[in-house]
Amino acid sequence: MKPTIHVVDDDASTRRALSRLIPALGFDVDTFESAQAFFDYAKIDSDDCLLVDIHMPGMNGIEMCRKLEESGRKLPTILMTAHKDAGTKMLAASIHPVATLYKPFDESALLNAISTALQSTS
Amino acid sequence: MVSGGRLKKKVSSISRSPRRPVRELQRFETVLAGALSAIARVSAHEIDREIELWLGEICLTLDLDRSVLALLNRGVTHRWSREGIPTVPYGTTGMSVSPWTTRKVLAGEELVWSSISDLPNEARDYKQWVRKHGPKAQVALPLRVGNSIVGGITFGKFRSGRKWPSLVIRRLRLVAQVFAAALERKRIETELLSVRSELADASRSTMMGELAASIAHEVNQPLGAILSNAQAARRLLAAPASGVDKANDALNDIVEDAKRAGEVVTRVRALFKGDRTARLPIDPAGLLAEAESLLRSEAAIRMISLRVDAAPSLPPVLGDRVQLLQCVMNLAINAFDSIVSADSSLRETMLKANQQDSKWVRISVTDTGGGIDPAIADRMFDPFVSSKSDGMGMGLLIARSIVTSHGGRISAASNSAGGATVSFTLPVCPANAPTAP
Repeated sequence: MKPTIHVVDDDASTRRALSRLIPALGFDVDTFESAQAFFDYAKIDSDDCLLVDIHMPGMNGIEMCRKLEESGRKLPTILMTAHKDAGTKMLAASIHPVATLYKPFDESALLNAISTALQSTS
Repeated sequence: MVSGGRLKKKVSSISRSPRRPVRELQRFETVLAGALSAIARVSAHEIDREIELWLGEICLTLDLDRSVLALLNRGVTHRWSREGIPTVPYGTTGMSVSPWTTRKVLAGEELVWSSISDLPNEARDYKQWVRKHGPKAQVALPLRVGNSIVGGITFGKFRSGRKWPSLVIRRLRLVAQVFAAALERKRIETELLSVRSELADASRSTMMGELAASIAHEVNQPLGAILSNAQAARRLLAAPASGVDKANDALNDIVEDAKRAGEVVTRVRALFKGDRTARLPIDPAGLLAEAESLLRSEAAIRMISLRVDAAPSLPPVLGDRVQLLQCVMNLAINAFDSIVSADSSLRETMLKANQQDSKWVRISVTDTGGGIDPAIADRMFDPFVSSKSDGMGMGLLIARSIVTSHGGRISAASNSAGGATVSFTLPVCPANAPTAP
């Protein structure tokens, strides 16, 4: 069975784009428009990984990852953001992600990050 | 702030009657009361002027000829001398005039002498200097702030020797105390002002920084989706059997996201340009008055005098009030920046409005700053061109874009007397123009 990349991003166009690109890279994909939707509907396997946008209305990506870890279901996490500033970088580093991708990011960067994330699960 | 005490300097005091010392002391007490309350009341930037005025007042009342106040590290900062008595240049250090006196005063001693024969032998150099150009009687007192001595003040008589009654010395000591406290207040307030003005600068550049960051975010978001869609489409088309429909969807999204990115740019442009629908008749004098009220505190913080000079009965112009306000304020803030960075001794910004001809009103902002750098004179309205080390070069660009969207023209020139003038024209509201159809 292929591992699933759980994409959480409030931007609809980004979700659609990643739901085309990620399968084309050889993985399954599931997308959520918010952290809440992820907690309500996501079906997580231990060899999956997360691709989470940092700045989202409601619960942001960092808070979502902390909450997931607190509930004992930590997954390797890739962060993504359209903000490239010092504050965002510090915020990102606080949860020790596998990688942080700055939009627009190249498919090779995404593929590298996913490979690293999946290796850390096995 | 002329008090009764100060006006008394007009009264002649050459009476030789034996009652003179008593009358002199009474007048001195009155002058002192005026000085102390005035110094305590004035705002920080008036303290220097006020101290010099009262130095003169005290000298005249006590029939002295010269008073000099010098601060550690800054030399002479305040002085008064009677006509015909040599002045001491500002900045002169005590050590360069009289090392002996200076060392004594900085050690906290008070030096009081009534004739040169009072001076001790160790002061030989000083006596030489005194014989050549100096006073015939002098008091030198330390200026104290808390436990430290920040400088000294002297009162001297050059035309003859004089006695120094202990009451006079006690009062002069009080003067030294009050002046020292006032100068300390000024130093602290000036420091505060510069901190506040730094804060204002920081918040302005933060605003521009935030604007830039939000534009970057708004554009990066669709660009990210475009890139992912394009790369997905390329992979999908490599497997035509299953991928063509999905690739087609991706391409449609790419088109939408490209439009989205384009709209961000349009919105940014609209922010700086505005649409033409909000054009209403505006009173130029009222516009400048409003700008002045918005800029008043910023000007005060930077110790700049801001004045408005609008010609009487100007016709209304046609425009967008908010945009025109922004334009005037951008130019005024530039003027303030220029004055501050040139550290001009004359710190003035003038907002002017007058009628150029029947069709145009001219509005101008004149400053006493460093003028226009010839190296950027012909590019100064272009984006990202700035004479300021931390400037974004957006202020004049926005001003020009506002003026041209109103149909006017903007230009800038250095003033012959120093500083710069940026002026722009606005069309007279047609209904009021004599040439209107």
